Amino acid sequence: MPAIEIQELKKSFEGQPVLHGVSLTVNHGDIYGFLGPNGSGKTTTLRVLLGLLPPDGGRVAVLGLDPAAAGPSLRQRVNALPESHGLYGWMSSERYLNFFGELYGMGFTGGDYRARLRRVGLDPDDYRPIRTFSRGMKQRLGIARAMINDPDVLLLDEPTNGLDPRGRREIHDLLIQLNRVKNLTIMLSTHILDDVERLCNRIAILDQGLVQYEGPVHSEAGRQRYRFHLGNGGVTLSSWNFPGISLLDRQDSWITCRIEGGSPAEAIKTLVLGGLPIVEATAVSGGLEELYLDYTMGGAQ
Amino acid sequence: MNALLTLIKREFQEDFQASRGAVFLLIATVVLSSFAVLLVSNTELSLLDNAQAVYMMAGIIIALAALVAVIRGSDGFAGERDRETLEPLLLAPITGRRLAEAKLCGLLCSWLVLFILALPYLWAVGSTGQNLLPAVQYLFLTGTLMVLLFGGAALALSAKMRSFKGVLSLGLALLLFLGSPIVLGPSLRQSYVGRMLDLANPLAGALNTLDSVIIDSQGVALQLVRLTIMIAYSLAVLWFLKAVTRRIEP
Repeated sequence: MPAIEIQELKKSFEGQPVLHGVSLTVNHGDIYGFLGPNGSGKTTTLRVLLGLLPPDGGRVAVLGLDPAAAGPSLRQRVNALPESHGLYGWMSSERYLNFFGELYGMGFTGGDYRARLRRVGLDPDDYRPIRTFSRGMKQRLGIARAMINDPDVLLLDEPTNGLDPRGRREIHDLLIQLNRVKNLTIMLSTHILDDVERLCNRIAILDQGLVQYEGPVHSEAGRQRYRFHLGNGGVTLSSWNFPGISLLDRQDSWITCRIEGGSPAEAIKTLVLGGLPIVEATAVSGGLEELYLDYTMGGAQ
Repeated sequence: MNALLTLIKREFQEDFQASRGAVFLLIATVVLSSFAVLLVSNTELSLLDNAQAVYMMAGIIIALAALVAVIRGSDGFAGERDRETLEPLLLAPITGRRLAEAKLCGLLCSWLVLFILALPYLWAVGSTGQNLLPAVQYLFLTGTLMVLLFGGAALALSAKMRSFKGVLSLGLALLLFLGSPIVLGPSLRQSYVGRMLDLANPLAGALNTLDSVIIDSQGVALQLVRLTIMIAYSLAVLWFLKAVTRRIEP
Protein backbone atom coordinates (compact mmCIF):
# COMPACT_ATOMS: atom_id res chain seq x y z
CA MET A 1 0.00 0.00 0.00
CA PRO A 2 1.52 3.37 -1.00
CA ALA A 3 1.76 6.20 1.53
CA ILE A 4 -0.24 8.51 -0.74
CA GLU A 5 -2.35 7.54 -3.70
CA ILE A 6 -4.34 9.96 -5.84
CA GLN A 7 -6.45 8.85 -8.78
CA GLU A 8 -8.22 11.25 -11.12
CA LEU A 9 -8.57 13.97 -8.47
CA LYS A 10 -10.82 16.81 -9.57
CA LYS A 11 -11.48 20.06 -7.75
CA SER A 12 -13.15 23.32 -8.77
CA PHE A 13 -13.63 26.65 -7.03
CA GLU A 14 -16.78 28.59 -7.91
CA GLY A 15 -17.15 26.64 -11.14
CA GLN A 16 -13.52 27.23 -12.13
CA PRO A 17 -11.74 23.86 -12.44
CA VAL A 18 -8.34 23.80 -10.71
CA LEU A 19 -7.53 20.09 -10.77
CA HIS A 20 -8.65 18.23 -13.88
CA GLY A 21 -7.82 14.65 -12.89
CA VAL A 22 -4.57 14.48 -10.96
CA SER A 23 -3.10 11.02 -10.42
CA LEU A 24 0.10 10.23 -8.55
CA THR A 25 1.57 7.74 -6.11
CA VAL A 26 4.00 8.36 -3.25
CA ASN A 27 5.61 5.29 -1.73
CA HIS A 28 6.61 4.85 1.90
CA GLY A 29 10.00 6.41 2.56
CA ASP A 30 9.93 8.58 -0.57
CA ILE A 31 10.97 12.20 -0.58
CA TYR A 32 8.62 13.22 -3.33
CA GLY A 33 8.94 16.55 -5.10
CA PHE A 34 5.74 18.20 -6.22
CA LEU A 35 6.54 20.85 -8.79
CA GLY A 36 4.51 23.24 -10.84
CA PRO A 37 4.04 26.90 -11.65
CA ASN A 38 1.98 29.26 -9.48
CA GLY A 39 -1.70 28.45 -9.69
CA SER A 40 -1.14 24.96 -11.06
CA GLY A 41 -3.01 23.38 -8.13
CA LYS A 42 -0.20 22.20 -5.84
CA THR A 43 -1.56 23.77 -2.64
CA THR A 44 -5.10 22.62 -3.48
CA THR A 45 -3.82 19.06 -3.92
CA LEU A 46 -2.00 19.21 -0.57
CA ARG A 47 -5.13 20.57 1.15
CA VAL A 48 -7.22 17.73 -0.28
CA LEU A 49 -4.59 15.25 0.99
CA LEU A 50 -4.86 16.83 4.45
CA GLY A 51 -8.66 16.62 4.45
CA LEU A 52 -8.98 20.41 4.55
CA LEU A 53 -10.81 20.52 1.22
CA PRO A 54 -13.24 17.89 -0.07
CA PRO A 55 -12.49 16.58 -3.58
CA ASP A 56 -15.12 17.02 -6.32
CA GLY A 57 -14.16 13.73 -7.91
CA GLY A 58 -11.58 10.98 -7.95
CA ARG A 59 -10.04 8.94 -5.18
CA VAL A 60 -7.54 10.03 -2.54
CA ALA A 61 -5.90 7.79 0.05
CA VAL A 62 -3.28 8.74 2.64
CA LEU A 63 -1.91 5.77 4.60
CA GLY A 64 -4.85 3.85 3.15
CA LEU A 65 -7.45 6.24 4.57
CA ASP A 66 -9.72 8.78 2.90
CA PRO A 67 -8.61 12.15 4.36
CA ALA A 68 -12.07 13.72 3.95
CA ALA A 69 -13.69 10.96 6.02
CA ALA A 70 -10.92 9.88 8.42
CA GLY A 71 -10.63 13.27 10.19
CA PRO A 72 -8.69 13.46 13.46
CA SER A 73 -7.52 9.83 13.41
CA LEU A 74 -5.55 10.45 10.19
CA ARG A 75 -4.33 13.87 11.31
CA GLN A 76 -2.67 12.16 14.28
CA ARG A 77 -0.37 10.40 11.76
CA VAL A 78 0.07 13.11 9.14
CA ASN A 79 1.26 16.68 9.47
CA ALA A 80 2.14 19.57 7.21
CA LEU A 81 3.95 22.85 6.98
CA PRO A 82 1.73 25.28 5.06
CA GLU A 83 3.31 28.00 2.97
CA SER A 84 2.35 30.57 5.62
CA HIS A 85 4.00 29.99 8.97
CA GLY A 86 0.82 30.30 11.04
CA LEU A 87 2.69 31.24 14.20
CA TYR A 88 1.33 33.15 17.19
CA GLY A 89 3.53 36.23 17.41
CA TRP A 90 2.92 36.74 21.12
CA MET A 91 4.03 33.25 22.20
CA SER A 92 7.58 32.07 22.85
CA SER A 93 8.85 29.18 20.72
CA GLU A 94 8.73 26.67 23.58
CA ARG A 95 5.19 27.67 24.50
CA TYR A 96 4.12 27.41 20.87
CA LEU A 97 5.43 23.85 20.62
CA ASN A 98 3.91 23.06 24.00
CA PHE A 99 0.49 24.26 22.77
CA PHE A 100 0.57 21.99 19.72
CA GLY A 101 2.07 19.12 21.71
CA GLU A 102 -0.94 19.28 24.05
CA LEU A 103 -3.37 19.50 21.11
CA TYR A 104 -1.90 16.29 19.72
CA GLY A 105 -1.97 14.72 23.20
CA MET A 106 1.76 13.95 23.05
CA GLY A 107 2.41 14.10 26.80
CA PHE A 108 5.88 15.60 26.35
CA THR A 109 7.93 17.09 29.17
CA GLY A 110 9.63 20.49 29.02
CA GLY A 111 12.87 18.69 28.16
CA ASP A 112 11.24 17.06 25.12
CA TYR A 113 10.17 20.42 23.73
CA ARG A 114 13.62 21.86 24.30
CA ALA A 115 15.20 18.91 22.48
CA ARG A 116 12.85 19.41 19.55
CA LEU A 117 13.74 23.09 19.33
CA ARG A 118 17.42 22.20 19.42
CA ARG A 119 16.90 19.64 16.64
CA VAL A 120 15.70 22.35 14.22
CA GLY A 121 18.52 24.67 15.23
CA LEU A 122 16.60 26.96 17.59
CA ASP A 123 17.84 28.02 21.02
CA PRO A 124 15.45 26.63 23.67
CA ASP A 125 16.54 29.37 26.08
CA ASP A 126 15.31 32.06 23.69
CA TYR A 127 12.06 33.24 25.29
CA ARG A 128 11.49 36.22 23.02
CA PRO A 129 8.05 36.44 21.38
CA ILE A 130 7.92 34.72 17.99
CA ARG A 131 7.09 38.01 16.24
CA THR A 132 10.71 39.11 16.83
CA PHE A 133 12.10 36.01 15.05
CA SER A 134 13.74 36.16 11.62
CA ARG A 135 12.03 34.44 8.70
CA GLY A 136 14.45 31.54 8.91
CA MET A 137 13.78 31.03 12.62
CA LYS A 138 10.04 31.08 11.95
CA GLN A 139 10.47 28.48 9.22
CA ARG A 140 12.44 26.23 11.58
CA LEU A 141 9.79 26.59 14.27
CA GLY A 142 7.13 25.74 11.67
CA ILE A 143 9.02 22.56 10.83
CA ALA A 144 9.32 21.70 14.53
CA ARG A 145 5.54 22.17 14.82
CA ALA A 146 4.94 19.99 11.77
CA MET A 147 7.07 17.25 13.40
CA ILE A 148 5.43 17.54 16.83
CA ASN A 149 3.32 14.37 16.43
CA ASP A 150 6.15 12.31 14.89
CA PRO A 151 4.09 11.84 11.71
CA ASP A 152 4.43 9.01 9.22
CA VAL A 153 3.74 11.40 6.34
CA LEU A 154 4.87 15.01 6.19
CA LEU A 155 3.63 17.46 3.56
CA LEU A 156 5.75 20.57 3.11
CA ASP A 157 4.72 23.61 1.09
CA GLU A 158 7.78 25.68 0.15
CA PRO A 159 9.77 24.69 3.27
CA THR A 160 12.95 26.59 2.38
CA ASN A 161 11.29 29.70 1.00
CA GLY A 162 13.13 32.79 2.24
CA LEU A 163 16.00 30.91 3.87
CA ASP A 164 19.62 31.81 3.22
CA PRO A 165 21.87 29.10 1.65
CA ARG A 166 23.14 27.91 5.04
CA GLY A 167 19.60 27.76 6.45
CA ARG A 168 18.43 25.83 3.40
CA ARG A 169 21.28 23.37 3.73
CA GLU A 170 20.44 22.80 7.41
CA ILE A 171 16.78 22.16 6.60
CA HIS A 172 17.84 19.77 3.82
CA ASP A 173 20.06 17.86 6.25
CA LEU A 174 17.27 17.70 8.81
CA LEU A 175 14.75 16.34 6.29
CA ILE A 176 17.22 13.79 4.93
CA GLN A 177 17.99 12.66 8.48
CA LEU A 178 14.29 12.31 9.35
CA ASN A 179 13.67 10.41 6.14
CA ARG A 180 16.56 8.00 6.70
CA VAL A 181 16.32 7.49 10.44
CA LYS A 182 12.54 7.44 10.86
CA ASN A 183 11.59 6.36 7.32
CA LEU A 184 9.44 9.47 7.15
CA THR A 185 7.58 9.92 3.87
CA ILE A 186 7.90 13.50 2.70
CA MET A 187 5.97 15.25 -0.04
CA LEU A 188 7.59 18.53 -0.90
CA SER A 189 5.90 21.25 -2.90
CA THR A 190 8.45 23.79 -4.05
CA HIS A 191 9.67 26.07 -6.81
CA ILE A 192 13.29 25.70 -5.76
CA LEU A 193 14.69 23.05 -8.07
CA ASP A 194 17.90 22.80 -6.08
CA ASP A 195 15.83 21.54 -3.10
CA VAL A 196 14.29 18.87 -5.31
CA GLU A 197 17.59 17.76 -6.83
CA ARG A 198 19.18 17.49 -3.42
CA LEU A 199 16.30 15.90 -1.55
CA CYS A 200 13.88 14.04 -3.77
CA ASN A 201 14.01 10.60 -5.29
CA ARG A 202 10.80 11.01 -7.30
CA ILE A 203 8.84 13.97 -8.61
CA ALA A 204 5.58 14.97 -10.19
CA ILE A 205 5.25 18.06 -12.36
CA LEU A 206 1.81 19.60 -12.22
CA ASP A 207 0.61 22.09 -14.80
CA GLN A 208 -2.85 23.27 -15.74
CA GLY A 209 -4.40 20.97 -13.15
CA LEU A 210 -2.84 17.77 -14.50
CA VAL A 211 0.26 15.76 -13.66
CA GLN A 212 2.39 16.23 -16.78
CA TYR A 213 5.29 14.10 -15.57
CA GLU A 214 5.76 11.62 -12.76
CA GLY A 215 8.94 9.67 -12.26
CA PRO A 216 12.53 9.84 -11.09
CA VAL A 217 14.22 13.22 -10.72
CA HIS A 218 17.05 12.35 -13.08
CA SER A 219 14.88 10.92 -15.78
CA GLU A 220 15.90 9.69 -19.20
CA ALA A 221 13.06 11.84 -20.45
CA GLY A 222 15.14 14.83 -19.48
CA ARG A 223 18.17 13.62 -21.37
CA GLN A 224 16.47 12.58 -24.62
CA ARG A 225 16.50 16.09 -25.99
CA TYR A 226 18.09 16.79 -29.31
CA ARG A 227 18.81 19.92 -31.29
CA PHE A 228 18.66 19.46 -35.04
CA HIS A 229 20.10 21.77 -37.67
CA LEU A 230 18.02 21.72 -40.81
CA GLY A 231 19.67 22.20 -44.19
CA ASN A 232 18.49 24.48 -46.98
CA GLY A 233 17.77 27.23 -44.42
CA GLY A 234 15.12 25.11 -42.75
CA VAL A 235 11.65 24.19 -43.96
CA THR A 236 8.20 25.54 -43.32
CA LEU A 237 6.36 23.34 -40.87
CA SER A 238 2.61 23.63 -41.18
CA SER A 239 2.00 20.86 -38.65
CA TRP A 240 4.03 18.49 -36.49
CA ASN A 241 3.04 14.92 -36.99
CA PHE A 242 5.80 12.69 -35.68
CA PRO A 243 4.47 10.30 -33.02
CA GLY A 244 6.86 9.86 -30.10
CA ILE A 245 8.80 13.04 -30.91
CA SER A 246 7.74 16.34 -29.31
CA LEU A 247 8.72 19.66 -30.81
CA LEU A 248 9.95 21.84 -27.95
CA ASP A 249 11.37 24.87 -29.72
CA ARG A 250 12.07 26.25 -33.18
CA GLN A 251 14.44 29.06 -34.08
CA ASP A 252 15.41 29.79 -37.69
CA SER A 253 16.87 26.54 -39.06
CA TRP A 254 17.22 24.90 -35.63
CA ILE A 255 14.60 22.76 -33.92
CA THR A 256 14.70 21.20 -30.46
CA CYS A 257 12.81 17.95 -29.87
CA ARG A 258 12.24 15.49 -27.07
CA ILE A 259 12.28 11.82 -28.01
CA GLU A 260 9.61 10.08 -25.93
CA GLY A 261 10.41 6.51 -26.96
CA GLY A 262 12.85 4.58 -29.13
CA SER A 263 16.43 5.39 -29.93
CA PRO A 264 17.72 8.73 -31.24
CA ALA A 265 18.78 7.03 -34.49
CA GLU A 266 15.25 5.80 -35.12
CA ALA A 267 13.88 9.23 -34.34
CA ILE A 268 16.28 10.92 -36.77
CA LYS A 269 15.32 8.42 -39.45
CA THR A 270 11.63 9.17 -38.87
CA LEU A 271 12.24 12.90 -39.13
CA VAL A 272 14.31 12.60 -42.30
CA LEU A 273 11.75 10.30 -43.94
CA GLY A 274 9.12 12.81 -42.89
CA GLY A 275 10.84 15.48 -44.97
CA LEU A 276 13.09 17.28 -42.52
CA PRO A 277 16.56 17.86 -44.04
CA ILE A 278 18.59 17.18 -40.91
CA VAL A 279 22.28 17.98 -41.34
CA GLU A 280 23.37 17.98 -37.72
CA ALA A 281 22.05 16.49 -34.46
CA THR A 282 23.25 17.45 -30.98
CA ALA A 283 22.17 15.88 -27.70
CA VAL A 284 21.11 18.58 -25.23
CA SER A 285 22.00 17.91 -21.63
CA GLY A 286 18.70 18.07 -19.76
CA GLY A 287 18.72 18.61 -16.03
CA LEU A 288 15.72 19.04 -13.81
CA GLU A 289 15.28 22.61 -14.97
CA GLU A 290 14.97 21.47 -18.59
CA LEU A 291 12.55 18.77 -17.56
CA TYR A 292 10.48 21.28 -15.60
CA LEU A 293 10.44 23.78 -18.45
CA ASP A 294 9.52 21.10 -20.97
CA TYR A 295 6.48 20.06 -19.01
CA THR A 296 5.27 23.43 -17.84
CA MET A 297 5.62 25.63 -20.93
CA GLY A 298 3.53 23.66 -23.34
CA GLY A 299 6.52 21.55 -24.25
CA ALA A 300 4.75 18.29 -23.50
CA GLN A 301 2.54 18.07 -26.55
CA MET B 1 -4.23 18.16 28.99
CA ASN B 2 -7.54 17.77 27.20
CA ALA B 3 -7.46 19.41 23.72
CA LEU B 4 -10.54 21.53 24.48
CA LEU B 5 -8.96 22.89 27.67
CA THR B 6 -5.73 23.58 25.80
CA LEU B 7 -7.64 25.59 23.20
CA ILE B 8 -9.64 27.51 25.84
CA LYS B 9 -6.42 28.30 27.70
CA ARG B 10 -4.89 29.67 24.50
CA GLU B 11 -8.01 31.79 23.79
CA PHE B 12 -7.85 33.23 27.31
CA GLN B 13 -4.09 33.84 27.13
CA GLU B 14 -4.43 35.51 23.75
CA ASP B 15 -7.05 37.83 25.22
CA PHE B 16 -5.21 38.81 28.33
CA GLN B 17 -1.52 38.33 27.57
CA ALA B 18 -1.38 39.60 23.99
CA SER B 19 -1.71 43.35 23.48
CA ARG B 20 -5.33 43.14 22.33
CA GLY B 21 -6.37 42.03 25.84
CA ALA B 22 -4.85 45.15 27.38
CA VAL B 23 -6.60 47.33 24.76
CA PHE B 24 -9.93 45.65 25.51
CA LEU B 25 -9.58 46.17 29.27
CA LEU B 26 -8.52 49.79 28.78
CA ILE B 27 -11.46 50.61 26.49
CA ALA B 28 -13.95 48.88 28.81
CA THR B 29 -12.57 50.76 31.83
CA VAL B 30 -12.68 54.13 30.02
CA VAL B 31 -16.28 53.58 28.84
CA LEU B 32 -17.53 52.42 32.25
CA SER B 33 -15.64 55.15 34.14
CA SER B 34 -16.89 57.89 31.81
CA PHE B 35 -20.47 56.74 32.13
CA ALA B 36 -20.28 56.36 35.93
CA VAL B 37 -18.81 59.86 36.26
CA LEU B 38 -21.58 61.23 34.00
CA LEU B 39 -24.26 59.56 36.11
CA VAL B 40 -23.04 61.05 39.37
CA SER B 41 -21.76 64.44 38.20
CA ASN B 42 -23.96 65.58 35.30
CA THR B 43 -26.62 68.00 36.57
CA GLU B 44 -29.54 66.28 34.86
CA LEU B 45 -28.36 62.66 35.04
CA SER B 46 -27.56 62.98 38.73
CA LEU B 47 -31.25 63.76 39.34
CA LEU B 48 -32.22 60.26 38.15
CA ASP B 49 -33.33 57.98 40.92
CA ASN B 50 -30.94 55.27 41.99
CA ALA B 51 -32.68 52.39 40.16
CA GLN B 52 -32.73 54.38 36.91
CA ALA B 53 -28.98 54.98 37.19
CA VAL B 54 -28.31 51.27 37.79
CA TYR B 55 -30.51 50.37 34.82
CA MET B 56 -28.63 52.78 32.54
CA MET B 57 -25.30 51.43 33.72
CA ALA B 58 -26.49 47.84 33.14
CA GLY B 59 -27.68 48.80 29.65
CA ILE B 60 -24.26 50.18 28.78
CA ILE B 61 -22.64 46.97 30.04
CA ILE B 62 -24.99 44.83 27.90
CA ALA B 63 -24.27 46.95 24.81
CA LEU B 64 -20.54 46.74 25.48
CA ALA B 65 -20.75 42.95 25.95
CA ALA B 66 -22.68 42.51 22.68
CA LEU B 67 -20.19 44.74 20.83
CA VAL B 68 -17.17 42.87 22.21
CA ALA B 69 -18.86 39.53 21.37
CA VAL B 70 -19.40 40.64 17.75
CA ILE B 71 -15.81 41.85 17.38
CA ARG B 72 -14.28 38.79 19.05
CA GLY B 73 -16.65 36.38 17.29
CA SER B 74 -15.82 37.92 13.89
CA ASP B 75 -12.15 37.44 14.67
CA GLY B 76 -12.71 33.83 15.77
CA PHE B 77 -12.12 32.08 12.45
CA ALA B 78 -11.93 34.88 9.86
CA GLY B 79 -9.29 36.78 11.86
CA GLU B 80 -7.21 33.63 12.28
CA ARG B 81 -7.61 33.02 8.55
CA ASP B 82 -6.37 36.58 7.83
CA ARG B 83 -3.39 36.07 10.17
CA GLU B 84 -2.78 32.65 8.55
CA THR B 85 -2.88 30.89 11.91
CA LEU B 86 -6.01 28.85 11.16
CA GLU B 87 -4.45 26.19 8.93
CA PRO B 88 -2.07 24.72 11.55
CA LEU B 89 -5.04 24.47 13.94
CA LEU B 90 -7.14 22.68 11.33
CA LEU B 91 -4.27 20.23 10.79
CA ALA B 92 -4.39 19.18 14.44
CA PRO B 93 -6.52 16.15 15.40
CA ILE B 94 -9.48 18.22 16.59
CA THR B 95 -12.83 18.81 14.94
CA GLY B 96 -14.14 22.15 13.74
CA ARG B 97 -16.84 21.92 16.38
CA ARG B 98 -14.25 21.57 19.13
CA LEU B 99 -12.55 24.69 17.84
CA ALA B 100 -15.88 26.53 17.82
CA GLU B 101 -16.63 25.37 21.38
CA ALA B 102 -13.26 26.63 22.56
CA LYS B 103 -13.74 29.97 20.86
CA LEU B 104 -17.20 30.32 22.36
CA CYS B 105 -15.75 29.58 25.81
CA GLY B 106 -13.13 32.27 25.09
CA LEU B 107 -15.96 34.74 24.38
CA LEU B 108 -17.67 33.79 27.63
CA CYS B 109 -14.37 34.28 29.51
CA SER B 110 -14.10 37.79 28.04
CA TRP B 111 -17.67 38.49 29.13
CA LEU B 112 -16.90 37.21 32.63
CA VAL B 113 -13.92 39.57 32.86
CA LEU B 114 -16.05 42.49 31.65
CA PHE B 115 -18.77 41.57 34.15
CA ILE B 116 -16.30 41.45 37.07
CA LEU B 117 -14.82 44.74 35.89
CA ALA B 118 -18.31 46.30 35.82
CA LEU B 119 -19.30 45.24 39.37
CA PRO B 120 -17.53 48.12 41.19
CA TYR B 121 -19.13 50.62 38.81
CA LEU B 122 -22.59 49.17 39.42
CA TRP B 123 -21.93 49.31 43.13
CA ALA B 124 -20.74 52.92 42.84
CA VAL B 125 -23.93 54.12 41.16
CA GLY B 126 -26.40 51.82 42.93
CA SER B 127 -25.14 50.89 46.38
CA THR B 128 -27.47 53.25 48.21
CA GLY B 129 -30.63 52.18 46.41
CA GLN B 130 -32.73 49.05 46.02
CA ASN B 131 -32.54 46.11 43.56
CA LEU B 132 -28.76 46.13 43.14
CA LEU B 133 -28.52 42.35 43.75
CA PRO B 134 -31.28 41.40 41.25
CA ALA B 135 -29.70 43.88 38.82
CA VAL B 136 -26.38 42.05 39.09
CA GLN B 137 -28.04 38.62 38.76
CA TYR B 138 -30.14 39.53 35.72
CA LEU B 139 -27.26 41.43 34.15
CA PHE B 140 -25.18 38.26 34.33
CA LEU B 141 -28.00 36.13 32.90
CA THR B 142 -29.02 38.43 30.05
CA GLY B 143 -25.41 39.38 29.30
CA THR B 144 -24.46 35.72 28.98
CA LEU B 145 -27.37 35.14 26.59
CA MET B 146 -26.42 38.20 24.51
CA VAL B 147 -22.79 37.04 24.29
CA LEU B 148 -23.90 33.56 23.21
CA LEU B 149 -26.28 35.04 20.66
CA PHE B 150 -24.16 37.79 19.11
CA GLY B 151 -20.81 36.09 19.63
CA GLY B 152 -22.12 32.74 18.35
CA ALA B 153 -23.65 34.36 15.26
CA ALA B 154 -20.44 36.29 14.49
CA LEU B 155 -18.40 33.12 15.05
CA ALA B 156 -20.63 31.13 12.67
CA LEU B 157 -20.34 33.82 9.99
CA SER B 158 -16.59 33.97 10.46
CA ALA B 159 -16.35 30.20 9.90
CA LYS B 160 -18.00 30.64 6.50
CA MET B 161 -16.86 34.06 5.29
CA ARG B 162 -13.27 34.66 4.21
CA SER B 163 -12.51 38.13 5.52
CA PHE B 164 -12.57 39.46 9.06
CA LYS B 165 -13.66 42.91 7.86
CA GLY B 166 -16.60 41.42 5.97
CA VAL B 167 -17.82 39.48 9.01
CA LEU B 168 -17.30 42.44 11.31
CA SER B 169 -19.26 44.77 9.02
CA LEU B 170 -22.13 42.29 8.85
CA GLY B 171 -22.07 41.68 12.61
CA LEU B 172 -22.06 45.38 13.46
CA ALA B 173 -24.87 46.02 10.97
CA LEU B 174 -26.91 43.27 12.67
CA LEU B 175 -26.19 44.77 16.08
CA LEU B 176 -27.23 48.25 14.91
CA PHE B 177 -30.36 46.84 13.26
CA LEU B 178 -31.39 45.09 16.47
CA GLY B 179 -30.42 48.10 18.55
CA SER B 180 -32.40 50.61 16.49
CA PRO B 181 -35.93 49.79 17.80
CA ILE B 182 -34.68 50.54 21.30
CA VAL B 183 -34.40 54.20 20.37
CA LEU B 184 -38.06 54.36 19.29
CA GLY B 185 -40.05 56.95 21.21
CA PRO B 186 -42.14 55.78 24.21
CA SER B 187 -45.48 56.20 22.41
CA LEU B 188 -44.34 54.13 19.42
CA ARG B 189 -43.01 51.43 21.71
CA GLN B 190 -46.41 51.19 23.38
CA SER B 191 -48.12 50.57 20.04
CA TYR B 192 -48.82 47.03 18.83
CA VAL B 193 -46.01 47.16 16.28
CA GLY B 194 -43.61 48.55 18.88
CA ARG B 195 -44.53 45.83 21.40
CA MET B 196 -44.06 43.11 18.76
CA LEU B 197 -40.69 44.55 17.75
CA ASP B 198 -39.64 44.66 21.39
CA LEU B 199 -40.74 41.07 21.92
CA ALA B 200 -39.04 39.71 18.81
CA ASN B 201 -35.83 41.65 19.34
CA PRO B 202 -33.44 39.83 21.70
CA LEU B 203 -31.45 42.98 22.52
CA ALA B 204 -34.63 44.84 23.43
CA GLY B 205 -35.67 41.75 25.40
CA ALA B 206 -32.51 41.95 27.50
CA LEU B 207 -32.92 45.66 28.21
CA ASN B 208 -36.64 45.33 28.94
CA THR B 209 -35.89 42.50 31.37
CA LEU B 210 -33.39 44.73 33.21
CA ASP B 211 -35.92 47.60 33.16
CA SER B 212 -38.61 45.34 34.58
CA VAL B 213 -36.38 43.92 37.33
CA ILE B 214 -34.41 47.02 38.32
CA ILE B 215 -36.90 49.86 37.90
CA ASP B 216 -40.28 48.12 38.29
CA SER B 217 -39.06 45.52 40.85
CA GLN B 218 -40.98 42.77 39.02
CA GLY B 219 -40.38 39.09 39.77
CA VAL B 220 -39.09 36.22 37.66
CA ALA B 221 -42.58 35.15 36.50
CA LEU B 222 -42.92 38.33 34.45
CA GLN B 223 -39.55 37.77 32.81
CA LEU B 224 -40.22 34.24 31.58
CA VAL B 225 -41.53 35.11 28.11
CA ARG B 226 -38.64 37.42 27.31
CA LEU B 227 -36.07 35.03 28.78
CA THR B 228 -37.57 32.12 26.82
CA ILE B 229 -37.32 34.10 23.58
CA MET B 230 -33.70 35.03 24.31
CA ILE B 231 -32.83 31.42 25.16
CA ALA B 232 -34.57 30.22 21.97
CA TYR B 233 -32.52 32.68 19.88
CA SER B 234 -29.32 31.58 21.60
CA LEU B 235 -30.08 27.89 21.02
CA ALA B 236 -30.85 28.58 17.35
CA VAL B 237 -27.53 30.40 16.96
CA LEU B 238 -25.65 27.55 18.68
CA TRP B 239 -27.32 25.04 16.36
CA PHE B 240 -26.32 27.18 13.36
CA LEU B 241 -22.76 27.39 14.69
CA LYS B 242 -22.63 23.63 15.14
CA ALA B 243 -23.87 23.10 11.57
CA VAL B 244 -21.43 25.48 9.88
CA THR B 245 -18.37 24.29 11.80
CA ARG B 246 -18.77 20.68 10.68
CA ARG B 247 -16.17 21.53 8.05
CA ILE B 248 -14.01 24.63 8.25
CA GLU B 249 -11.88 25.50 5.24
CA PRO B 250 -8.52 27.21 5.61
